Amino acid sequence: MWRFIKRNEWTLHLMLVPGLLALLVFQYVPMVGVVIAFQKFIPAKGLFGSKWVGLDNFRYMFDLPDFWNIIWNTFYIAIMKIIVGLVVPVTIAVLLNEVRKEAIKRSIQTLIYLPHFLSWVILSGILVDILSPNEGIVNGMIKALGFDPIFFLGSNAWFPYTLVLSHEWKEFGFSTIVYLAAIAGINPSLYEASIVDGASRWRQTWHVTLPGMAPLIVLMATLSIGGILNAGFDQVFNLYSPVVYQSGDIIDTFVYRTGMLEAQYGLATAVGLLKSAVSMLLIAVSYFLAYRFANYRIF
Amino acid sequence: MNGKPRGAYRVFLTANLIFLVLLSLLCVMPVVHLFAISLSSNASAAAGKVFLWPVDSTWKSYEFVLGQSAFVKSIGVTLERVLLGVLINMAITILVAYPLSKDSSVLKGRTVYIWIFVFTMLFGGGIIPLYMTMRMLGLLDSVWGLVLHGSVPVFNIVILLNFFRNLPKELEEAALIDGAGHWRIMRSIFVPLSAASIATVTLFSIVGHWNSWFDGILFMNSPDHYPLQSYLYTVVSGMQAAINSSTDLELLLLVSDRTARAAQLFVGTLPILLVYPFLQRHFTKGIVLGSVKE
Amino acid sequence: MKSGKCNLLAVTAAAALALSACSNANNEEASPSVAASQPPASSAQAPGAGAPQPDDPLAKYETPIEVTTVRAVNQSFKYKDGDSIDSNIWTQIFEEQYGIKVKNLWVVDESQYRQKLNISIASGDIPDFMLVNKEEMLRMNEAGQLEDLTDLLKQYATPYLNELLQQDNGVALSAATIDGKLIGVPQMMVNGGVSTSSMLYVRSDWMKKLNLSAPKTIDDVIKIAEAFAKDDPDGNGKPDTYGLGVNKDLYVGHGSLTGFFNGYQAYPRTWIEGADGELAYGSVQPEMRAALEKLRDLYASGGIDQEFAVKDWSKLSEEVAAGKLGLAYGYVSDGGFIQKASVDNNPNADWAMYPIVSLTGQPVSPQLNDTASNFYVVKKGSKHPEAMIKLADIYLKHYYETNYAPDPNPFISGADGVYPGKYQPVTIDPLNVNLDAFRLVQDALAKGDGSQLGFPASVHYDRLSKFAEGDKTMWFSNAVFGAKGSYSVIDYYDKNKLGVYSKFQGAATTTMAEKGASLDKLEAETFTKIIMGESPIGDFDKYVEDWKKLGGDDITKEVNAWYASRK
Repeated sequence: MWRFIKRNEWTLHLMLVPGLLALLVFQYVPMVGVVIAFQKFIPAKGLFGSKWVGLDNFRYMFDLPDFWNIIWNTFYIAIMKIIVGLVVPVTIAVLLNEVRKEAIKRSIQTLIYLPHFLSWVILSGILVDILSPNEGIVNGMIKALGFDPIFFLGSNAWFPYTLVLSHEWKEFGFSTIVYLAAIAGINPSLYEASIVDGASRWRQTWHVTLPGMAPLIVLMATLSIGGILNAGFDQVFNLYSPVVYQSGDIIDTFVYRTGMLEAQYGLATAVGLLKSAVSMLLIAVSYFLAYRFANYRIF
Repeated sequence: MNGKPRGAYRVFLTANLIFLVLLSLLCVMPVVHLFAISLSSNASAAAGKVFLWPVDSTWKSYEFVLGQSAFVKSIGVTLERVLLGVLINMAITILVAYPLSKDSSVLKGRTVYIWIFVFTMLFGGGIIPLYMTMRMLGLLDSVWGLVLHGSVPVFNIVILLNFFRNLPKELEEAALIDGAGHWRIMRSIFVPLSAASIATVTLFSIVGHWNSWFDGILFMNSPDHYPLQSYLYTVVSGMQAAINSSTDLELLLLVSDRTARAAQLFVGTLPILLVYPFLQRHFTKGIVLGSVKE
Repeated sequence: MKSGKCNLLAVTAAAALALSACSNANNEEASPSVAASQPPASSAQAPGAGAPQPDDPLAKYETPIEVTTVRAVNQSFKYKDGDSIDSNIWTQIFEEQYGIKVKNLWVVDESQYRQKLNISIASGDIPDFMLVNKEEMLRMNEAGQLEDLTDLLKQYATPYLNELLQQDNGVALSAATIDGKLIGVPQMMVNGGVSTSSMLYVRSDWMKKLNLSAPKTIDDVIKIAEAFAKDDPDGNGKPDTYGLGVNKDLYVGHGSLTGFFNGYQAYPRTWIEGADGELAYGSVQPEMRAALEKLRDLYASGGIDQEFAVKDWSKLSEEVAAGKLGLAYGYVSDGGFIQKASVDNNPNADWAMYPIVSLTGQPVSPQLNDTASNFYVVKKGSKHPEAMIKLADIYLKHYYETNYAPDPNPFISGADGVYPGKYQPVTIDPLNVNLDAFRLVQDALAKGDGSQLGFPASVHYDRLSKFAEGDKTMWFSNAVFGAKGSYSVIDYYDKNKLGVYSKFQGAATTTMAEKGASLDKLEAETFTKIIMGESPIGDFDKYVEDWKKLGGDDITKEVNAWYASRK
């Protein structure tokens, strides 16, 4: 059998060819473009005719008054998204698991992950409408409860939380499924044993269900570390406005604006390059942690 | 069967159910709101009178929207793109996931391959070099450009290869002893056994293609060739730029046409809402087996 | 509104001929060009009449040529069946009468134009000619990508084109002249010059109801704002109305603050001459601080919508329509659309327009936009660099200089909202075409005879006559061109020589191109927060410091170097 496997190994390599080719053309070739980070890029002179400026773009980047603010925003928003993104779906999965009627459970599942399928283009159209302090439904309810309306998309105090909440609203249903599946995978004999011990539902949840989900929770937490610099371009880009740049401008939106609208190609590429480098480091760390603590190999 | 009084637990169950139902309504409400606006008269929508039920209901905005040739064309482009894109994505996903699900002892250089793929998730050359590449290849302004630049969905590959890795080894070994080659093993064992996972990543791929808007704006050379979401993007945000630069009366008239905007957004959402419930039952198996290894 | 929608669309679409396009202006003094509204009769040969003479700028190419360009469109571009931006009445004229085929490399929604253009330029995918802003023009010129147009313009511009390019005394042309070379042709637009002034829009029925008098000073405006916000002007018993309408972009469209600042002699985003003869940036002058402080107080007292910072211009127009907003600084064409929406919803709504006011009641000059902020440039090495100029000639000849009477002008929209004038890739318009039309129409109305009017005044005359006969759909025309319409305010400015242009007319300087956008952002952010009370007023001084440090000082030096070179 070993001989056979050796003999057929080339088939496996062959299978990889189309994917590798596509990557080469659409990913690796364009990567040559990172040299712009070290240039004063002038389009007419091309990638290799432009003047090399060493680390000037990076120096300029660190001197930008906004730079550290943007880094902070990115971390802050991303970390909050990660935490909320763990707590909410786990809770909902546990609650949903208590629903006895299979049909109801299924319907609720279907409904809660509906927002996952809406694009941010569409959602921003909706959110701007419903979050309006005067006419939006959300503030209508807040006012009905006797509170002052909240200026979700226009106040620096609220904007990051609006991002986190709306992101969670869009995604929690989907993650809930993953945790529900983990619950379904818990060995029923563990429950039976705890019932024999006279454990209440509450104690069963605490002592059987949650420990049963623990490996997955740890895994999801570790894997999300790699995404700490991704605070969500699509979402922020579609929802932010200059008023909330202070609290909502993240690395990706900054790169977009400087590169595409202000034509500061060198600066934009330098920021993007720095982000990629840090992300890579983080992914390596999370890969290592996942392997070490969850005994899990991502790939 | 339960040690505690059933009464308290029943109260909890009811409260829990109410909470969950409210939560699901919260998830659906915005879409209903959108639908209600699209069916209302312009005046009531502009005055903010519409909540979840249409006011002065009329189909007029749908008549208007479906008469917009740019809108109708963009749906065509999106359908073409989803069809081609998903086929190509899935072919590559399966072709790549299969060899990479083997151990390094079977596939020499597996680690290197893996990193070649994963690296692209972390690192990119940026938009402008990609644009130059697409131009060199003559892929601008063509549906193939939209389809090909993201033809290797690395995330999906990782999910599927994990699923493959967790399939029982015995079947494969038996087939090998029968003299089957890798193509046959992939086709007749791995693919059928992974229906759940394949359905899941297919849905990811459909949603990805359906919802992407940025590449359409970037690579297409005419609004007539925009896919739906790019077109909608110009409708939603494009207006603002128009507003900022223009005092064109006709354009201003369109700006206030909130109901038409809502109708376009709703039509843009509908297909995906109709598709996903059917693929739902696969998710549980499809995703999770891909992420946790016992 | 329900059944009338199509009608309304057609009517307003037709009005677009008068009001379309961005307003940009810069003459040293607004000098109305009489020729604009009654253009000289066409002196060019009839198309296809024999062999063209060699010196005719409009000569047909014997061997048809092809030139490429790129286009921005928006949702108001409508086409007859079978027509498109690539094939329409203009492309037919170009090809059949002049032997020019214009190919669009790409067409994009105008909101994406900058982005797409930047990518195109960055990747070396440049068309033969294109419309760019000053920064892009400068950048491309620096990179050696632009053709020298100095001689081409002399050779190929028709007299009328030359006249239009000189209507601001050549200021815009000089902005496009670098080291003695002309690198771009300014895109002048209708409603340029003095027509870009701010004015006050007030719901006069509300004023009457609350016993308020017409605004003469800033304090009057404040009083009206507070009364509109608090005294229930719509009488529905609910506190659902706003005071002074302000939009998040601060200097754009309905709800702009430009007019308010101008009342304080503050001229944000322009260059003014200081006492020392040096140019200084308007946004960082102490006059701004005073105005901001007033706005801050007004916001605190509820006289400005508490959420203005997220509302763009279109949101304000919805509020006007809903009868919630009745006071704002705006521009000349706002009357045609925004206020009409409120009249549709509420027949009692009535509007008045006033010149901007100062603290003391003395007349004050509104700031005016540059006459051109966009320029047509030609790629270096283009085979037919003259084609762009010829296309501009062709536009003028067919759009303005040809008398189609008694048939309608084929480029003006008909009942279907199709407006082929827009399809032309190179449009250079008379700045004061509408102001002149307003005057002619008013004269004609006084005499009761509009039969002598030419295009476009004749159109307005007909509409105003219909309005006078009770046709309410013509309300917008009355709001703009009526005796008390928004043009009467422009007319007042023009006759009193009110209006301030930016003293800096050069191309954006190096530092401007590099830092301008972030400085603008800093400004918008700081001002918004100061008004909202989120930052203390003292942050204005910090902003001035930051502005200087982050490039403002360099920009000031560069601007003054330019100014010195022009003396």
